[in-house]
Amino acid sequence: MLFAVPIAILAAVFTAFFMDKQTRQWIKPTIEMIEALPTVILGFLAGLWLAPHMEQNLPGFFALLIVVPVGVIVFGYGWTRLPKAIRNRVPLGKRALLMIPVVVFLGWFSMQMSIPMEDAWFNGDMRHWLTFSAGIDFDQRNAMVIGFAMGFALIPTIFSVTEDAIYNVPTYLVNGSLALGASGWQTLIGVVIPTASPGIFSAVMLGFGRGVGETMIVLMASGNTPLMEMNLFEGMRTLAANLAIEMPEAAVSSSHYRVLFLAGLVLFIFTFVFNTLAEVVRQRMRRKYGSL
Amino acid sequence: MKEWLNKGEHWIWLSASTVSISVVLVLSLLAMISYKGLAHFWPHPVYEFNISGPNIETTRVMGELHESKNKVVVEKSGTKTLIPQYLIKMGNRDVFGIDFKWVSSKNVQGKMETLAKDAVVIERYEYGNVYGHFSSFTLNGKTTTDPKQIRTELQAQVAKGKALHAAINSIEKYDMGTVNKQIENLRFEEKKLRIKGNFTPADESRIKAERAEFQKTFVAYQVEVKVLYDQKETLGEVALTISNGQILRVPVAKVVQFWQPNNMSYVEKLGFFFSAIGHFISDDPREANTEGGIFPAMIGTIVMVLLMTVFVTPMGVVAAIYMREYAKDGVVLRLVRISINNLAGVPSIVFGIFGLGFFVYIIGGSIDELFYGYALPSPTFGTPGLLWASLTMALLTLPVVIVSTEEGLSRIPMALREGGLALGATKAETIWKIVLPMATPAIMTGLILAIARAAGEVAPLMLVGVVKLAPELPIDTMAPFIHLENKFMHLGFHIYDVGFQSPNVEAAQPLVYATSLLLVIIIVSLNLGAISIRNRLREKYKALEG
Repeated sequence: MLFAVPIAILAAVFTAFFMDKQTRQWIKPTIEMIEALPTVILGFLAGLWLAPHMEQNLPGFFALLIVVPVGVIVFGYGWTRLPKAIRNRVPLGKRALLMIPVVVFLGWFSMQMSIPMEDAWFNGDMRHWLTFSAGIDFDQRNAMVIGFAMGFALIPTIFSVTEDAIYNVPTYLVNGSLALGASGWQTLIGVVIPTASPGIFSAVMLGFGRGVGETMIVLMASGNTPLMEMNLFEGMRTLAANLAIEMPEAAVSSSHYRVLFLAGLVLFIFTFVFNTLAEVVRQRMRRKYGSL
Repeated sequence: MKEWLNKGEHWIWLSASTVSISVVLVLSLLAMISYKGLAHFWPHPVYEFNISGPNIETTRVMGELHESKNKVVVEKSGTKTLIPQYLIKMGNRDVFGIDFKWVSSKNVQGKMETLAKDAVVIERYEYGNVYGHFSSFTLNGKTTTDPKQIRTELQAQVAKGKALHAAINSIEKYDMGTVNKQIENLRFEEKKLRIKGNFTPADESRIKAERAEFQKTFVAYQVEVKVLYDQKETLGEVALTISNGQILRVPVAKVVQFWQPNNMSYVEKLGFFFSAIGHFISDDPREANTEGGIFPAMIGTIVMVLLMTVFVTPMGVVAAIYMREYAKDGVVLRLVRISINNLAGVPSIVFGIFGLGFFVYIIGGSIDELFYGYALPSPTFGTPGLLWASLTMALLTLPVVIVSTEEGLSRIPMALREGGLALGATKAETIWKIVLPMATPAIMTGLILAIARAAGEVAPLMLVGVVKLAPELPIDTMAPFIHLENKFMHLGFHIYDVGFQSPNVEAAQPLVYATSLLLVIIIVSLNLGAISIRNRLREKYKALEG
């Protein structure tokens, strides 16, 4: 989850604010395509493909979190040192395309680092090291796998609402700020984001509501262990997955059956609160823009 | 550098990279599913080699390369070497007990890349594939040992076997099934009469006579099937030398198809690839769903989705028309809007338990008591089934249809409505004759999106009617053609079930990827269709407004 929110918001910011029209036209549907992917497929991939891979390349996955941002910034700085002729070939709006090979390379690079890092710091086996030296239990299907998979499923929800909110900020505000000498990013932080913040807030709420109710990914990629601790590497079980597992087995009108319905009610109230909050904020925002 | 950071340039680069990360993730996901899914249909080469090592006896291994990975081995001197490990699909499950074997390249004698010429793969109805070489073929006591001749003869016999199999299947499933249903109906009729208390001797003798009649036809069918089975037994059997030197005899009756992957040319492989896709789509699943096709799951999905469309279209469209055309803007309408948006955000599993608690147990239970009392205690509608599943899905997709219909209605220029009213039409006539036809593309868009959502949703369906293996299709040739109370199979649930609940997950994985690919193709194309309809719609109304 934590991994999805920044990615989705930053991506939305770039798409709405910096990207040129042509690229935006196909980038947006591509990302929104994830929303259409059945979660059962995501869950299946997370459970049967991502989980074993993550187990094998655990240091690589952690390296990703560091290598990619640092690598990107270094690349960006390096870019300014390049001769102008090359730089002008790629306008600001197309930078996302330029970054695709860079990102792929960085991802591949951190996966390659996995084995040497394991040897250097974790005696050749990070799983082993975690269990015996750090005292953390490790399950193959753990909360981290779900975090990745679920984050992936939530990106489009957050992305599209945020993108709309930013795109709808009146251009004269932006132009005014740029005219006063602010850089592109300063305009974004100082003017655009505050104006669009209710929209971004409601996007995060919507994403959160969706995450709470997501069933299939958790069902398939978590260990479904009923006992859990605050440990990223252990299995877990959520309300929704619990319903899906136990409901078919509960006898009609037994207390088990009623407890499960209660769980459903709790789930409903959870999402109801988040959604209503998001909706109210969005409606208020709409009225505010009406006056602008 | 400092100025560069101050200007926030690094944030721009970072945000640009997040866009590309998302795009890369989507595309690589799609690419992976397509690659792994399509690889399932391609005839893989069969390798054959000896393995031996310090702790392993020399054995001959034959099979498809399923997966390979590198294992790091640290030797005593401290140097590290990467040793490739291969996962070989050996098949012959009835002999070896397992399908797969990990082989270290260190133990492989000779070269791994040598393909076994003339190796044969036989797909069986039971116990998975056989890998081996032709040894002999026996038909009516005559034995041939020339591989080429075996091949041609086997081909002919397998074709015959296939025809017989289809014939048996059709009799057992349809003809005998019909008779069984009729006998069951008679039983219900008798029970009904008994409950009413007017079960006369005349009725009794009539029912007895009819039952005897049905039983006679049933026995006749049984005899017919027996003859076919006997014919199947006489198709001969093929003997193969498998990797450990043993001779494995496979009766032709058990053979689905066979091929010699290492002798195939590229064109032949391509032909095999497409025929495998055809089989996958049109065959019934075998071996606890881990082999064979997905036909019933596809039919189940389609029927459920169509039924859902029938329920959701009127509900959604009428609601949208009312909200757009008739309702006054105010607190109530705002509340309704908020609750519809909320409905879209409610977790699908909550819809599932609602469907189970309300539709299945309350409504279904009362229907049973009122109309199907004679069949109790075995429930007819009081159990998860097609009708309840599609009703639940209709509720789940209702907001999608409402929102998109409303959007379509709001795009229709006011002038058209006013024109209709000015010519003397009533409001209802204007809506019916002018507004609705123009809004059809928007309604279609909503429906397509709803269908795509319903096809991919699994969690609620698990509670209200999807099963691992449904004995009958929900539609057939028996009246009333659609069996609303039947349970059915669903592609999404099929993925979950085969991928996670089957006894042989490793062997079933390619099939799951293939099923996922099919589902993704269906859903993505539905979505693309919806998007293109929407774009065309926008163009159309731009012209109207201008």
